[in-house]
Amino acid sequence: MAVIDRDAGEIVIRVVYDGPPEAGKTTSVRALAGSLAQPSYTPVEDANGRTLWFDWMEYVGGRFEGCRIRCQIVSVPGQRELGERRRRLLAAADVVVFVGDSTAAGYPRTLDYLFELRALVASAPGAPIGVVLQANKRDRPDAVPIDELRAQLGLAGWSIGVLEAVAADGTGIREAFVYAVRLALDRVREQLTRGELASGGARLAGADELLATLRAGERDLPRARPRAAVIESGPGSVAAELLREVLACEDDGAAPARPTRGAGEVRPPDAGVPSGAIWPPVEGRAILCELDGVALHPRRLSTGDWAAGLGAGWRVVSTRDARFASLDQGRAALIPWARLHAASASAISARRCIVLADDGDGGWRLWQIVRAEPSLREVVEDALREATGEAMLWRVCQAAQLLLDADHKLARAPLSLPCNLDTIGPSDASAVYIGLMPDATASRVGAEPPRDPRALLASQLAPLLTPDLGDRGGALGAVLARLPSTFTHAETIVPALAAILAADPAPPRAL
Amino acid sequence: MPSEKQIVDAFEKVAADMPGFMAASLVDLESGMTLGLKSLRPDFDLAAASAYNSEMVKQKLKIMKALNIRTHLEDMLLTLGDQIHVIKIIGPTTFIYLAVDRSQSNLAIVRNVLNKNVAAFS
Repeated sequence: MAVIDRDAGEIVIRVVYDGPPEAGKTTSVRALAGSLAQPSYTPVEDANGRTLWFDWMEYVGGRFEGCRIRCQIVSVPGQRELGERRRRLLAAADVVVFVGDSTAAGYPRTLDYLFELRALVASAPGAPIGVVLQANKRDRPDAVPIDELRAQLGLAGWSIGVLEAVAADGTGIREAFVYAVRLALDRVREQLTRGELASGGARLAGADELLATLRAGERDLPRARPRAAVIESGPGSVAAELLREVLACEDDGAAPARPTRGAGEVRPPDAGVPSGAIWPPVEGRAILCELDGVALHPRRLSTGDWAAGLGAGWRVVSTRDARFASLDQGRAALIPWARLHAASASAISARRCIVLADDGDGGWRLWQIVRAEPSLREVVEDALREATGEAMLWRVCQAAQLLLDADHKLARAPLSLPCNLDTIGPSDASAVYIGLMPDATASRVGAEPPRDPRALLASQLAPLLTPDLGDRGGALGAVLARLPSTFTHAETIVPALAAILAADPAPPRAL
Repeated sequence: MPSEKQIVDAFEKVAADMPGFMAASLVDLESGMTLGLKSLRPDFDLAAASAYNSEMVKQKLKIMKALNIRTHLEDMLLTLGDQIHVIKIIGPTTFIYLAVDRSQSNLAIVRNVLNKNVAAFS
């Protein structure tokens, strides 16, 4: 997005700080701001102080082609569920400083995000976007040797600059920034040569404009990708049935816009719900405020349930029977359901809430609002588009690990939830249930019987991997054998994948 | 469980008896949700305070379990510069969260008034 403004005598470049969650992006931007004596700005953070939109700072320094260089420095939110926001911020980058967590614990996720970034910048139009890897947390005793990191990049055939840093005390931050600005100016030079450099005032003048643009863009998000007949779970699973219905609606297209509420329609939940009618009380209200910008027009599904927010990145759902004549009756249903959610909090996605809202017809309706998060199926499908076998298998292994992690978590949850590639999504370093929750009567007594993890992997991954393999199975099997087994469950995942790659998967046993 | 109206009525009585009453809520311990509330201070976010304080109660119960303390938790008292906050456990799943202006009240009054009205919340 570099822009040259000859009247102002400035060239504006965008330096984007990318990386996995909690790798040190915000800390790096703030350390850089301190080092350059500039203010930094973060529009909104979550309850844990994590970036939800971006961090922002500007710095004017140096000259290029007789113009001052104005650097707009932006960091992305790293949370998986905010991936679309991350991609949009990266789309405007002239250079990317990838802040990687180089500790042993954070290393696999760093590689995962790094390979994603590689695919993003490779597909960006115009002059190539430079990437510098700022290997952070080098002061930690378990930091992965820097040569190993470089070797991993070499193995993947990607030659980028790697700089060591400790963002917490500012070490290496300025060096990485200066290196990034040089790469950005290389890109500007290339754009000048190609006649691609935009001129005039900066199209995005500041943080407020960027925030407004992102917000406006999210109101117009495209509908979810079609996922026909992909929900596999036990019969009679209310959540799965409901999710299947909702996904079918998303695949059909968003609900038609209806300017007014007519007979037989229900009023959707809004930020005006009374205190004590929403769980979780704090984050839930924040979600309702965020939904204020989304036109919710509930439509009735064939099951008699109501759904809204489809196509806008949200699933706002109320079952047919979730209507109550009084607030007290509704609350009597809300409280046990909230308890069930609270008891399952570590296993389910965070961006969700349940709300008891006036239905506009003298009654109260219980809604669940769930952010439509990327699923493991999308992770595997993205992985299959990787250019190299190493990168592809690495990401498939990551997805398999997350699926098994989720299976362990869900086995301990107080209610029975389906575990498959569609109901599980990545969340930071772990996996969570991203589907709709069944009602409070679905709670189970006692632990779930143990499932065969290899059968789970075979049943979920083989249908995706086998058709894409062709005659590459043998070669990929050899690549798989060479992959470093640094991830958990490697003893299960590697043989299961090897069986799939050999096109001789073990017949899945009943789960 | 009492209805929301019964809870609010009970807090009205507490507020009438307690000098310096600022805000109070009956909170579901597991979910952190308010079951009923009364506030005289519009700037006091009682829903958020109740949710965060439920986490504190849960942590205290975990500590007691870890230390093998075989008794029940009765209340928790927090003294701020200008406020007193009291958490009164009502049953296995609910507690009262109460905030009082410290310059107009004291702990003895707060406990006395709460104990007098606690039956209405059970």
